[in-house]
Amino acid sequence: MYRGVIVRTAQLSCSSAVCDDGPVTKRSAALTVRVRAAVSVIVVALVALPAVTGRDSFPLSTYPMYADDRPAVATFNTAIDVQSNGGWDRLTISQIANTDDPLIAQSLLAHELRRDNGRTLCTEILNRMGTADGGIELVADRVDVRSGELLDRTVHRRCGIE
Amino acid sequence: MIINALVPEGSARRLGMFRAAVGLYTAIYLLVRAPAFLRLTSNDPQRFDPVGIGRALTGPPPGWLIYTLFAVTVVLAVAVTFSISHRITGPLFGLAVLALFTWRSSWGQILWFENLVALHALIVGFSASAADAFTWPRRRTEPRPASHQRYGHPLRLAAFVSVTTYAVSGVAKLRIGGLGWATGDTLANHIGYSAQRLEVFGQRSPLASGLFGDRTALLTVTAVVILVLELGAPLMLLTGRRLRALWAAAIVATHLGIALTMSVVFAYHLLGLAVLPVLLTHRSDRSELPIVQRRAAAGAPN
Repeated sequence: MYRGVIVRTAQLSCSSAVCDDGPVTKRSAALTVRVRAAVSVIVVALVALPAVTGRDSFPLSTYPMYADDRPAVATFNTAIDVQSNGGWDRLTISQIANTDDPLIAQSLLAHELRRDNGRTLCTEILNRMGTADGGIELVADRVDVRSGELLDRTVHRRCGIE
Repeated sequence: MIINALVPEGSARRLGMFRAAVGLYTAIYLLVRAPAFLRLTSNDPQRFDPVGIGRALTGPPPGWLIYTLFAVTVVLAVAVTFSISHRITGPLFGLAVLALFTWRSSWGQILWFENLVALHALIVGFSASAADAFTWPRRRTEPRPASHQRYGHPLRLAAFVSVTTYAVSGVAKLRIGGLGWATGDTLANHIGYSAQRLEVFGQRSPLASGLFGDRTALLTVTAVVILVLELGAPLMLLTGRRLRALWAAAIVATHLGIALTMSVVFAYHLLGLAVLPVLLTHRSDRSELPIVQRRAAAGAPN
């Protein structure tokens, strides 16, 4: 009885402006439902596909964030402001990469170090900072992520330093 | 039975609610994050690394085009929120969100928190029936649309997409991290890694990053729970409302935990919009029918 009411109501409502199915005959309604079901199957298969192929893209993704078995020691590429007296300060991601997203800054540093070992980026940061005393270093900091201890530092690129 | 699961009947109002939620979120998100989007127009073209549909491009689109696309997307998001000319603005909204977000992820870093928004925008955008209810201003002259598959289908599809993305995320953890991912050490290292990444970029550590430092047992339980929530997500479409609500609450709580311990905010997910279609899609109940039909369905005299 309940189902009968639904079907009857659906047929009645199809004469109104809100119906997008056209004339409701049993055959066309069944076809519409099959098409909708096929669309669902295809879309869900596409969304699930990266889990099989391992190919990360947009908007179909493997969602690999936090998926790795991360070790306790990590290396971070970053940039520091080096003073002539030997002191140094960390730069913000806005100063380094003109962004407020650490993920974007991290990928930019990796990309630029691959491209020309950071030459272009180092100069960009120096121009953005306008450092009069000292200069900029692009560095790789090896850090114990649990304690925060800086274990060692490798300098990739220096600029603005005599 | 499979057809019914894929294309269930549903209420126009619930689909309308979801449409409005996606449109409103997108409009606010774009306005709040406008500087982050538009700043990219001044990027070095050599850093353009197109993904998805962007791979058809040979270089980054000119800045004026992105400014225009951005403005048009905001207008379309508002139109979709209020269901203004949805048959035209809806599909354009879906495509505009896809194009704009694809462009933003084409600078060397895919921004995973935008994937599901784009997929949901495409679904509500291309659902002509999504504007049949929950409109503003309210269309009082038209009868309340009855429950129908054209309303249930888009919502169920959005729910399928949501749970599939969580399942894919769970598979990635097992594929990349292996079973070792489910140990407290891995999660503790992830939390520590996020905190240290902020430190090396001259920012403050996340609010609650120090809370779980050496609580390995607690973190192991948390990691296992996260895997169960993600891998079990598709099963939620087979369960009752209570279990679904519990799952949805746990998912939102997980995103809240990630925000507090790692300062990684998936706003769409954190606000519950990722799980909203899962909560809204189920067999239409009698409360969705006009009262006369409800009485008829119950066998009561009119």
